[in-house]
Amino acid sequence: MKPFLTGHSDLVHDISYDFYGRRVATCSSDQHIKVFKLDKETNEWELSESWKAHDSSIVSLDWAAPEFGRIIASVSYDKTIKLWEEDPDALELSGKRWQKLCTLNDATGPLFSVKFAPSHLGLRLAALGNDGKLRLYDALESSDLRSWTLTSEITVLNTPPASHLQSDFCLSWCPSRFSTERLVISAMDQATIYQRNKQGKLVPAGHLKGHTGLIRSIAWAPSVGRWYQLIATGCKDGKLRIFKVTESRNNGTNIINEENDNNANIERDGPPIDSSAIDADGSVANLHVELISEHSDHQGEVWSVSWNLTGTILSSTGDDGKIRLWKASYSNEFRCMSVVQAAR
Amino acid sequence: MANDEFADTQDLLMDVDNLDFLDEEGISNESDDDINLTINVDPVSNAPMVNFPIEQPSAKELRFKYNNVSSRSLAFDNSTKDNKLYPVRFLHLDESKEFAQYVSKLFELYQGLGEHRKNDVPTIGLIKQTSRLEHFSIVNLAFHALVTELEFYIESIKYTNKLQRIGDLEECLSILNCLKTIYFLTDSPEYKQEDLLESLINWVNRSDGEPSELVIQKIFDETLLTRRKVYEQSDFWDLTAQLLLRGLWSQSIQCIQNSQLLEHGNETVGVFVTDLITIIESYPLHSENLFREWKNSVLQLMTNWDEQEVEPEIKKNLMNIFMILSGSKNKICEFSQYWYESYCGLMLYYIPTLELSQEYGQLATKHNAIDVCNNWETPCYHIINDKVADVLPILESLDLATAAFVAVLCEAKGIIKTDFYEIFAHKSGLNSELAFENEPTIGEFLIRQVALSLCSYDDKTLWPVSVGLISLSSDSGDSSKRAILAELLPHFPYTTNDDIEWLLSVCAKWRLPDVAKTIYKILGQDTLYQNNIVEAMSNFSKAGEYEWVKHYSWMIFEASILQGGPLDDITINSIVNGDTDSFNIPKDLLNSMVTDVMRQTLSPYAVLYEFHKLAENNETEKAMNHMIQLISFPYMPEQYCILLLAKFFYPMFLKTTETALDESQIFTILKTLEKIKLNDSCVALYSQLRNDDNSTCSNLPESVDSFIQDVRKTLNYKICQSFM
Repeated sequence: MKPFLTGHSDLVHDISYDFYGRRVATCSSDQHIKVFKLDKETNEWELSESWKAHDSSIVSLDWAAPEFGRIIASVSYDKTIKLWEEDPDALELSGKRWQKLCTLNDATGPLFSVKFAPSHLGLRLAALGNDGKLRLYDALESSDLRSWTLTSEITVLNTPPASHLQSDFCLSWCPSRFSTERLVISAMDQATIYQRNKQGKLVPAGHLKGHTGLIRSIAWAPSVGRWYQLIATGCKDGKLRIFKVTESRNNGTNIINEENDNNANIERDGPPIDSSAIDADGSVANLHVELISEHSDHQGEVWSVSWNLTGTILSSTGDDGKIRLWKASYSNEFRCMSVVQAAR
Repeated sequence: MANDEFADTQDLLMDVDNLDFLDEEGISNESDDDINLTINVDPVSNAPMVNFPIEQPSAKELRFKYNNVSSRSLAFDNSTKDNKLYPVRFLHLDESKEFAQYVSKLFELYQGLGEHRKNDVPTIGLIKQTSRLEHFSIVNLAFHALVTELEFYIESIKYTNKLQRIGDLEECLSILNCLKTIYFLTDSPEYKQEDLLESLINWVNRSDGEPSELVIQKIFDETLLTRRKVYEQSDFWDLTAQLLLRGLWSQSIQCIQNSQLLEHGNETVGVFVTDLITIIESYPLHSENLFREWKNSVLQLMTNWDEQEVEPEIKKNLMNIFMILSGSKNKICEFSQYWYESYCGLMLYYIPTLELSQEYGQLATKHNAIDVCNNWETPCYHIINDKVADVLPILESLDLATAAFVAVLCEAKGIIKTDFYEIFAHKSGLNSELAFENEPTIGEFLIRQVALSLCSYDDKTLWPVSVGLISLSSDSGDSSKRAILAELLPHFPYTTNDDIEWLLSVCAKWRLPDVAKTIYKILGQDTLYQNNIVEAMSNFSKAGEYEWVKHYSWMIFEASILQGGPLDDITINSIVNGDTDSFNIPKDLLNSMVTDVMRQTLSPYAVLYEFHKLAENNETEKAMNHMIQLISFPYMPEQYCILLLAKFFYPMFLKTTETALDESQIFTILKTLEKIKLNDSCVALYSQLRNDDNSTCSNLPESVDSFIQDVRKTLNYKICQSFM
């Protein structure tokens, strides 16, 4: 497999693979999305389609699960989310192969991240941007993908960042089909886990503490065969962090007291844990978040983190121009197993 | 000449010139794609480091995203406008067919072990005295087979340019050979002393391939240049000692025979050298009992030699050889270049027993330190010192699959003694007893790692292995296994119907209906993109997505109205017609594809199809009845009522005077018109119908409203006509 030119005329901000890894979509500041497909004969990526998708830089995109067809969501600094569907009858490279399904324009600031929920939650997507709001949309009728409903809008950052300052927002869904609906978001230097409570509302359920700079990337690990969850963050403070998230059903009183103490640190740690997470029987699906690993091997900013299909290998990239692959040992200690180095 | 003389050493000596080991930094190898893969060591983490293949991205804001198929993962730079995507080559990812075969073979071994995968000591029921022996024998056999498979695997990739991979596997093999020698031989019922020593010799010699042909050649060629006798060089005596220490007796004999010692001017030397050759030839490899006698003979010969008056140099050199053979610890260690040579020498000539193995190991490493740059040396020393658990992380770094199966066999043999308290020491407040209840063993942990890693290969043949490993694992209950399979199975890269059958059979076996539904949905979408609507509907209905089945049934219905006749799809037509013979579609195939939901949702099209056929045969009366049935169908969407009226009913039965409608038929239509609430779809489809160039509907009223009015008027007229 050889390196290949995307043909974008400006910076590439994000790439996303389809479920089977046979297609990759790229987005760029040139306002275009491009889709490449893998030629299995030559083992090379070939351009399938390219189209102007937004009126400003496109910074994030994602593929929906294959159960729903070939759908891509994209977000841009033009404050819109757009949904695209592949039309198999249109010719490739005709500019018409990907048809716009709809535009969602509830955001009041540039958008930074968009991700489809895992398929067992239905056709749902979350988007996060500079206005500090996390928005969830649902396609309520599976046969009508042009109609999307804003089902949740949550303020994750009380004061949106000043436009002249660097900012970063990321989100990642818990991919486990056996877990409650959960997602983790990072807004500036705060990372919070949200989960749906019994009333069907998304509420903060835990914080990933310890970040002292912008969180550049966040990734919830697939938890195949694990009874706990892992979340990795890459931060401007130079640290790759891995958090272990476990669920325990404790008496609600203790949790509330603990969270009341936490409320003193709202500004620093993010929104308070919502008491509506407590179930009617007085117990609470309490998330215990523990920092299990912290590495500064990149010796500078950590730009991206990403897990493999089964959540057994974590990758990180950083200022040192290296991709580091991390693997947990039998005792659950993450160690760098190999490194891929770019030119310095 | 020397070359010819020592040609047969090739059989035992490894061709080191063709091998590279990790201890050499910065070796430049070429992979399948003729890509330079330079392996260095990352100074921060000490992990092996490679460059990007072919071309390097700039390193400013490097980003990387894992693909579900690991080998297709891409990196890009977010800071430069070179706008390239860079594939990444992972060090520990072997996607070759040979690897797939190797893993499949290992799985067969694992599966074949059955209950012997565990080291369970029976405590109840009928306990046979021989059961433990049988267990050990089976585990030993499995280990031997594992070593053989690894040898085959190395052999199969020997002529590729995956030098790094071959090097790693050779190191694995060295570790395995050592493990086999120490732990997987002596308790077999058919064990013989020679097995242990042959295994030991094989381990030592295969591991480093020394002495190399070049060294031997150099020693013998030197004599031609210097005109000195071979035995006059100290290198010759070192070589002879090395060959003896490594148990390479035939090579050492050939070496001595070609050393010109037999032609020595002093006859005594010739006699003693002949005796030496006889002694070496008669090493009691096959008999433990003869070893003492043989050693006595060596000591006797040594004493006699000591009494001989010969030139001091040759006396000393030959004496050293005799002392090595007599098992002198000091001489063995003195003449060994490596610790494992000493170890082998001590085992061969001091007392050949594993009971003294640890002592030999300590003695050997005292004189020659372990080369920590060789991945296999430290693990082998751990094995000798009964610390098998410490070997597994190193094996894992060389090859995960091998490490996993070795761990399982070691556990089955009961030779892993893990200091769990040390492993979990960093976890404060951990209840170790609880940890052992919940945590899998190292073997099970590694097996699961293998099972999971195989799913991220672009090789569907590895999936059954992965599913098999998960199914056979004993660390988790069925619910846990089901959870793992449920997460993994939808990712199976199916390509054929057989693949899908297999996938669904696994879902059925593990009672995963939700996963099966997900798979059907994916299949449905896939077939939809191939324009195979019937199969898509079949898949959607099997997935329980009845709304989608309904949606596509109405799409078929709509297309047929707009076309003004039956669709050109023989499958759909044979479903609604029930006539498979005239369409040449096997009935069984159709029955397996068409579900009850499909039959139900396609029923409006079935009536429409019949209508087309009746109209074609000029059976107007019957055709009209069918049309009225359709229009008055309570679940008919409004837009299709309008379409049916506009396309067929109005021009065929209302605008003509040839057909007469009875009162009840007219009232039925009027009632339906009463219920119709016009919506955007009605307007859009009506306008599409009017604007269709090929349609006869272009002379219809301009708007839907006026069209309905027109219909009403005509119906009123028809009532009058009927009354009159």
